[in-house]
Amino acid sequence: MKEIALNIMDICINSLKAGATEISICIDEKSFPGEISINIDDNGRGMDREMLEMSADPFFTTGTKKKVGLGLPLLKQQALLTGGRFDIVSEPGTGTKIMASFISNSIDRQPVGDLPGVISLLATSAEGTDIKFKYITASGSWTMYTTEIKKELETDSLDNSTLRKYIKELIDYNIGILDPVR
Amino acid sequence: MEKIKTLDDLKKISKNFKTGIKLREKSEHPEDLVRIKVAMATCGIASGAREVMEYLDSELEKRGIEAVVTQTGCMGYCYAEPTVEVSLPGKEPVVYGDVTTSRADEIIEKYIKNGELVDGIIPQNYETI
Repeated sequence: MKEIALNIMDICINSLKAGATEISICIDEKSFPGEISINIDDNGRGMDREMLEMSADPFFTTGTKKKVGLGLPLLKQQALLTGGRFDIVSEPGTGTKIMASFISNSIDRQPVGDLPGVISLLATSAEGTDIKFKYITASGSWTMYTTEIKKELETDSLDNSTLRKYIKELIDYNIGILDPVR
Repeated sequence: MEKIKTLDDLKKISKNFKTGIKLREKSEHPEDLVRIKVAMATCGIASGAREVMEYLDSELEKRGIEAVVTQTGCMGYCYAEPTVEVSLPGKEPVVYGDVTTSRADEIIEKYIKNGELVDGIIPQNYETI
């Protein structure tokens, strides 16, 4: 993975596969200065203890087409490599919470990447799943709910490439004024 | 045009195009449209599938081709990511491997527009699930 944003997308796709109807993505640069913490919570089917232990093992996967599952192991490795932290909490039936923090000025930290592109793609293509996105920095915070957008636009589906482009602009502008780590 | 800065801006601009309904109209006869699936598991994402999807999505619209671009999981061809499955109306799906944005352009121009096969097709015996 070349960008943190792509890791976020990969993890969120796991949430979608777990049947989540709500996914919350929170990026926090404020609580721990010098760190970028990424929190992804979903209300999908969750994992039992045994599966949770295996989830960070690259040779464990729920997929059927291949023998490896690199999503979580990659995120964990990349967070720990910067001197950051990684934590995963999950319970069958209630959902999964993932926290990964990256030390911002570590030489091993990847760039955050095209976050507006990733979030707009998730927000518009995840039919039937509400996405909540929050970005917090020392200068302030910004939140976006897909439920709110759907309500304002009086539509039941955001899956439209023109709309995706505009939502990307919206995210780009609002994160931009928060002066985020790139 | 002004950049979209607030939800209000988004609301105003969204009056200029249809949302929601368009997809439902599409889904009534999906077999009449070009359908494209971009593999987006860890392997695909790491190889740049997101950029390719964004490219396909915007280029197809720009070039006036009605198509449904969706994401799918790993098709098992991790070595050839990003992989893209293209189904033209009335034809068997074709999977292309190592699709960069420039190869995506070739696929649109040659395969989607003219039905002419281009390099990079994987397994002939592939069947979609």
